[in-house]
Parts: sequence; C-alpha cells; structure tokens
Amino acid sequence: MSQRPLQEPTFLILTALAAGAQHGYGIMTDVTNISGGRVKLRAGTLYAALDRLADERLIEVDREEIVDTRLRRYYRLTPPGVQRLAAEVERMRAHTAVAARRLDLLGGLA
Amino acid sequence: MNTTLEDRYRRLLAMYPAGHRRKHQDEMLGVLMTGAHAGQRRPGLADTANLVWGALLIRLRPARRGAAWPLWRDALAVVSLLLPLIVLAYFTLLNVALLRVGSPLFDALARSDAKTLGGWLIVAVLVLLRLRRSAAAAAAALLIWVAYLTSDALNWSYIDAPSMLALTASGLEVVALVASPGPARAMEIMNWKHYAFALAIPLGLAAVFNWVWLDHPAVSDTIMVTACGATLAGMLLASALSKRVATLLALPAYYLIVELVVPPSSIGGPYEFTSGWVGPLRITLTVLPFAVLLCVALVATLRSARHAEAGSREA
Repeated sequence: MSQRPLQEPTFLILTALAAGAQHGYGIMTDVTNISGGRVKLRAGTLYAALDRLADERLIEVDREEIVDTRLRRYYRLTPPGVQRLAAEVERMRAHTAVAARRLDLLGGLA
Repeated sequence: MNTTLEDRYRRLLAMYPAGHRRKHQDEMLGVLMTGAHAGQRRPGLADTANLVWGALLIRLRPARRGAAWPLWRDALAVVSLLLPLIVLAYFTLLNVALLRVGSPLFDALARSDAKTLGGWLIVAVLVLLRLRRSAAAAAAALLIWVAYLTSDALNWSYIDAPSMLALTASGLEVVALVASPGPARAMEIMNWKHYAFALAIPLGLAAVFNWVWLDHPAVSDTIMVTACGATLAGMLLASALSKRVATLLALPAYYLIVELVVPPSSIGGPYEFTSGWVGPLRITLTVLPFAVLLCVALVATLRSARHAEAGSREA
C-alpha cells in the first residue's frame, strides 16, 4: 500500500488521541510530554492539523463541554485513524529494526 | 479603550476564513487563553506567527473547506476506479463492431483505438493494484498521448466528439486520481452491486452498438442515448454520492451522446467519418460544456464570497 509517511506533528497528535478523547489544549500538552518537550504545538498548527485529519476522517468530534464559559471540543480517533496510526507504527518499527541490526553489525565490526 | 488579550487574539483569528472561525474560533480562543501566562496582555511573537501561518494553510486549501468536500472526494475516488474499467469495457466491445464491418477505414479506426486502449489498460491495472500515484502518472501520459494524437491527426481545427470524449475522459481520470484518496478509498465504499451496475451499462451499450448498429444505426443510437441519459438521471436522483459521480461522468458522457446524436457531415478527405461537426455547430458543441462549467464556477465563487462576507459580519 502506498501511503505517505505521517509528518511528526500529525503522528504525535494521533498518538495523543490513541490514549482517549482529548480537547485541543490537552492534545498540545500531551504532544509536548510524548516528545519529551521537543515538539511544542501551537494553536495555529494544531487546528490546521485537526481540520485536515477530520477531513481525512482519521479523527472526529467526541463531545463538547463548556468549562469556565469556554468551549472545549474533544476529539477521538476513528477506526481508519487507528488503522493509519497502526500502519505508521509498523512502518517505523520495520525501519528501526533494520537500523538497529545494522548498528549492531557496525558495533561488531568496530 | 481597554483592549484585552482575548480581543487581540480575536483580531488575529479574523485572518481565518469565516467557515473555519464559525467552527473553531471559540475553541481556539479557549486554547490560546488557557496557554497564556498570568498578566499577559499581548499575543507572543511565536503565537502570532503561528496563527498567521495556520490561517495561510487553511486558506490555501479552500476546496476542502466546504461540508460537501468529503463527498466530492469520495465521488472522485469512485470515478478514478470505475472510469478505466468503463472505458475498457465499452471500447473493447465497440471495436469488435468496427472490425466486423471489414472496411479498411474501420479497421484503421479500431487499430488506432487499440493503442489508446493499451494506455487505459495500464491505468486500469495500476488502479486495481491501488497504486494511485503511478496510475495518475500513467493517466497523465495517456492524456498527453491522446492530445498528441488529436492534434497530429486532426490538426485541432477538426476536433470532434470522439477526440473530446478521449480528452475529457483521460483528463477526468488524472483529476480524479490527483484530487482524491484514489482507488483504495473507492474499494472501501463500493460493493459488488456497484461494480456490476457500472460495468453492465457500458457493456450493454457496446452490445447494442455491436449487434444493432450495423443494420439499424438510428435505432442503436436512440437506445444508447436514452440509456446514457436514463442512467445519469437515475444516478442524479439516487444517493448524494452517486449524484456527484454522475455529475463528474456527465462531461465525457456528453461527448459520447453528441457523437451519437450529431451525424457525420461530408467534409471530404480521409477524416470524413471522424470529423462529424463543422463550422459554428462544432465550435458551439465543443465549447458548451466548458461554458456551463465556467458559469457554475462563477456562481459558486460569488455565493461563497457572499457567504464569507455574511460570516465575517456575524463574527
């Protein structure tokens, strides 16, 4: 199957949602945690990505809440979103396995 | 006047399209205000740049903004899978009739079609293997080949219904493969009944042409035009997806119908049978669908602009 690799922010957003439905700010903080502080999403990037992922039917709105007069919209993965993330994990796993084997080999020769 | 941080964020969010603001503005404001530190009065430089960039990204993909876009994308995916199969089914059987006539001119026409059908066969195989990008490249090559054949054989001034049918069909296939998730998505949507229906129509039409046209061309043409029109009309009345598929297929179907309805005229020369329309009729019939498309695009753009303006006033 010829699917483009996911960009890192997209991968991290889907990974954040794999733990369950989250609202925008929750996704931002979770992405920062998952990436060990290396990736910090901002609102513009986040909502451009969420909009595109919803267009591609990889995520959908789970529910809405009003907290302190502010709207919180929770997003969740759709079944195609779960499949897409799983496929990406498998692709990365295959690559890292090859890389690890070759590094072992390199270490053995050194 | 005391301008708050929220007002300033709201001004920045005004850069987004009205539809996006209606959907996400409150939510984004919530996220931005939650992320602001105590006492912050102005948006930070990084946040400002990011919001400008986000608005630009959203505005650069306007075609995806409408609520109907996912349906159009699915319709394009279905067309990307079905069109090569329909073309192969219809024209392969159709050429049997040309070969049965036994005249050198009709043999030559069948052989000429066979080269183009080879291109469609490659596209069909790639599509069935779900290789969207390779299929799009093959379809683009086919479009260039068809354009070259048309310009070479007919010198453009005699562009006719069969040429326009070949050009619009290959052009539509390129667009469908580029602008949609492609055959993989179509295979998720379609079941065996859809495939059976999609192939029964062109095979039925080609069969009518094959066994009725030789003896009763007028009857054959009437049956084919009626069947094409009835199929498209039926699809327009069915589901929202089939309505969109019918709309997309209407352009090549138009040239197929025109080819059957407008009889070849005698302009002399070796292309007597293929240059069916001459003078103002040729130009009018060639341009008509594109003029209609232009009008539809203009009306849609005006409506969208009015909608966006109303949305901005509301916000």
